[in-house]
Amino acid sequence: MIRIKCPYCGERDHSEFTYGGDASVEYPVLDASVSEWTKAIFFRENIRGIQKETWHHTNGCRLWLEVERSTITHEIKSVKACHPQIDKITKNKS
Amino acid sequence: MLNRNSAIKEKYSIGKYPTEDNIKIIFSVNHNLTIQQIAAWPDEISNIEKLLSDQLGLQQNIDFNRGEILNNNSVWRMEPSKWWLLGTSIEVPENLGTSLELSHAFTSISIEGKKSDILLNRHLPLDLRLDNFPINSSASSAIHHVSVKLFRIKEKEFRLFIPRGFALSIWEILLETASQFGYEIKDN
Amino acid sequence: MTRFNAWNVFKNGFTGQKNWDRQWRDPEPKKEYNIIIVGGGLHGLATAYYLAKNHNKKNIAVLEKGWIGGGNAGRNTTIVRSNYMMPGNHEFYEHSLKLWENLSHDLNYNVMFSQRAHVSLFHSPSARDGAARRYNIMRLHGTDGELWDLDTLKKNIPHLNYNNARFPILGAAVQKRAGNARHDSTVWGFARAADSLGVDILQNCEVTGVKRSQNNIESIETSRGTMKAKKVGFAVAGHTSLLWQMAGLGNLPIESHKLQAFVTEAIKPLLDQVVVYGVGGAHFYISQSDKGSMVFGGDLDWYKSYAQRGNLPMVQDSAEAAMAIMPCLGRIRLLRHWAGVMDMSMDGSFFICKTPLSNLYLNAGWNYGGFKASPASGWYFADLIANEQPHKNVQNHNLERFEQGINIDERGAGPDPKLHG
Repeated sequence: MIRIKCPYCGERDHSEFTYGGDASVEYPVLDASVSEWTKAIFFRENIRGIQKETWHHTNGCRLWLEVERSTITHEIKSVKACHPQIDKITKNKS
Repeated sequence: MLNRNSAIKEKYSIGKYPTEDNIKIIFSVNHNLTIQQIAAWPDEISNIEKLLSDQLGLQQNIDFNRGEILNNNSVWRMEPSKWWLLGTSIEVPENLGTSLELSHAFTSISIEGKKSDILLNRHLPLDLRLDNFPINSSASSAIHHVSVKLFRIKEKEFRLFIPRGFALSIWEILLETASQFGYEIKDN
Repeated sequence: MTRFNAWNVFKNGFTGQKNWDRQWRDPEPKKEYNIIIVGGGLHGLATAYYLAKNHNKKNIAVLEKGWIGGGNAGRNTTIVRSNYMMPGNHEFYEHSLKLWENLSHDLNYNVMFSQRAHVSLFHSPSARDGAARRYNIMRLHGTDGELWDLDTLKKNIPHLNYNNARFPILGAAVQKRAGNARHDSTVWGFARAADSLGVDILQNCEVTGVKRSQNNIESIETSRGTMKAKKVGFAVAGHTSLLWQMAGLGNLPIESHKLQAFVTEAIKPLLDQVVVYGVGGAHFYISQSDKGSMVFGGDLDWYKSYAQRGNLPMVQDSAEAAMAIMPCLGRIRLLRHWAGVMDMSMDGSFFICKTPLSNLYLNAGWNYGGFKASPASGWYFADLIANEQPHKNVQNHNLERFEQGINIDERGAGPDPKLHG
């Protein structure tokens, strides 16, 4: 079991969360070319090592989280709320 | 108001199980409970906090994973930007956040008794020891993949909120687990 | 090499079956090959075999970083079927099934292919409609498929949960020619057959670098020395992205996810088919191995990973699914569970295609379907490498299909690799 330290709920089993995907993907502007959009939507670096990814605390506080995790050992380096304002207030509390 | 039907009515048989004595868990369903969910826009969290304390007369803001019981109602922090008001409701200005009526969306069960925390821990992966989850704490988690909310009212009294559509199956699971401790289903 | 036949088995009987040759050589790497296939799994070995057999190619090497068949070839649930619907996919998988039907003879090696039927349960009228549509499309393309009503199903598989299932079983979509095979035998069969046609199988030979010019691969650096190659094929499911980046080619429409499989203690014959159960969030497939073990699997672990070990929530989900359709398994003990690293592609379909480099070819993105695909995968990949253009059945299985908007998405799950189960 991976244990994720949710900035709101505390440390929980990963089965409470839903894996989102690669958090490093940056979407281009709306009228960018088809090829730029294709790269953003379909192509991935598929990192073997520490990657930035999103998780949703579906069965918890329902926050979207940005997690740094090793895709080899599953060790988690950091967790924060994706929304900058929520990140700020959860950081103030801890 | 609508005459409300309990989601667990068909399996709610008042009595003591499996025998008359040695009852360590007491269940009761909370009928006619009202739930108002208030969600703040991320930039308006402090203004919603102010609104709540003005309207409800709170001494201080409700902290993360906490609640406060007032006279006939209570307020609970569910998420960084969300609160539940039980038994009362307030007006929420659109520029500060949104209000959602959840009274019919959840089934609320009171679980009291000597083994209430032990029973819950048969299913919930939460640390329910008193110093970690003191009175007036709230938590969201899952039982059998069903999202649930848990409040601690007293040391040995909890309130569990289950989405209505799944309430009956979770209720059956709780009863099955509770039969090893001895339980009573009370009229409320 | 001595062929396997009745006479040779009889003859060797006089000497305690001790006089068989090595099944494949352990050659020293040469400095230069005409064709190097990276990846000594089923797909790589099959490719080398068909290059030598169908296209008469010489001087071929298969590089394997560990031992052959030690990756996903040894980590799957050995199911073979061709119940695919999308153009390109159904031709491909039907071809693969046909190759399986003759594979033991072709390789002179018993791959224990058993056409025991693949029985996919349905639990609602709309699921039955969906199955009817899919299996009718298959029949129109010459693949076998039929629908079983509840009585037929009960007669054939009496011990499913027909009594009190939360989602009552209504019937099943069945492909009778489908079944399963022995995974290790298939690896060894391809290796032995390829080796006897002169293919060098180089084990413990990990690729550490790819030396290239602007448009070409010049040589492959490995833990056993540098090798030049006129043509190179990548067939390293799970780790394709790493090799791709080693060649300086950037990103692929692939994420690596892990998929678990489970095996129980052996019991007496219980289940004579492959049974698949999928309703709501559940996904489960089970068969009984020749040794008697129940072999089953479910969904991915739902998060990206290169770890070849499974996590507990999926053990629970699979056990729950097992109990939902076969409550008689309640007291059977689990012996092992493990995970393989899947190339999950962005539309759930594979790649057999050319690449931006003129002498590099790609075989990847097998999702859940790599084992059954392996003979056809080798067949079409060999065809691509030999003829330098894709066969019409795999002409859209390329990297450009996403930009062209011709995704081959059997499940309609969209660009989220973990959902293409």
